[in-house]
Amino acid sequence: MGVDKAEVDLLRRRVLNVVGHELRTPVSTLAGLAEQLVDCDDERLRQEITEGVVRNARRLDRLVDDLLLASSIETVVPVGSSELVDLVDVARQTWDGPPIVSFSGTAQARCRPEVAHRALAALLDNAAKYGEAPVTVTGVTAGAVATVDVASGGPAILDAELELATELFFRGERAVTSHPGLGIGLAVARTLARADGGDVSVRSGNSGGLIARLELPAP
Amino acid sequence: MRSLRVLVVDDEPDVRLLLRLQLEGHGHQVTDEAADGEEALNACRLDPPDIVILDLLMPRMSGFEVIPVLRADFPDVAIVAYTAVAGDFVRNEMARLRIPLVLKTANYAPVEGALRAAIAQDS
Repeated sequence: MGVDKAEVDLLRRRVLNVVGHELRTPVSTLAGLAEQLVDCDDERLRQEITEGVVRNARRLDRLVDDLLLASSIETVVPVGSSELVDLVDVARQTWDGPPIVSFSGTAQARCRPEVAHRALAALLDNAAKYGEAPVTVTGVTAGAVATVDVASGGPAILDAELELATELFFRGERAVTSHPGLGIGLAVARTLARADGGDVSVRSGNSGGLIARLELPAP
Repeated sequence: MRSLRVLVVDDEPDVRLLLRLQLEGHGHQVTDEAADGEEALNACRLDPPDIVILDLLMPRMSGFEVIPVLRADFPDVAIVAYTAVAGDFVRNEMARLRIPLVLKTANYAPVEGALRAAIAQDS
């Protein structure tokens, strides 16, 4: 199989930029705060610094998990056997964040439950982090396709960013300046959906924001 | 160097905590902390500092967006840019604006060096 050098270079630059950006802050903060602990004899301040050390250590732990996931994304193999699932129900059960998400409709799909769960978790996480509340989850089954749209508000997304949003290690401008992350959630969701005959796509909402769509085969 | 009155601007509370500890440990006074450009402007209006240590990538109003406003509204306030990663664009832009740039690090020395450079430049 031929390898496009330009694509490899682009991915390498994207990885180094994202990893460098996402690693440097927690690493330097963790090291700096740990140094401050050595000479600190104020009990209240020691507690504050210690909590910061733990937060940044945990953030690094999550980054390593995400990097390992990203390293094997092309070979992600969902486990289990296909079942009949309502994707809206799965989304409702998956969401354990703040009450900013509303659910409507049904989307009866035949897929592995792990695929539905992980793909919808990634779409919801992406909407909650980078979009503006409220987030709406709308399901519909039409013909041979079960569809769930996860819509969030916010400024319009540039077309150039939409095209790349499901690419590994891509982070939009709003993501880069708002939350830590590696830019792998939508790429993982797409890989999982395709493994079960579906797909993930994104588009702009009518009045801005983002709509991420999960499609899976209907029974 | 004389003690400076510093406003710390970064969207990450732990980064602000570390900078505050480092600055106070080296004899400077932190006038306030801000989590984005808008908060930084409000803090400057309430109590103008000698210098602002400014993260460049922040939600709502970024460092890039607030720099021209700071320059226009608070011409006597010096600025040091503080960022995790700086590519050619950021380095060139900060050089053009004559704003010292520090990459986030556990080591305080580069921060102190940038404070000196920014104050010397503005005096």
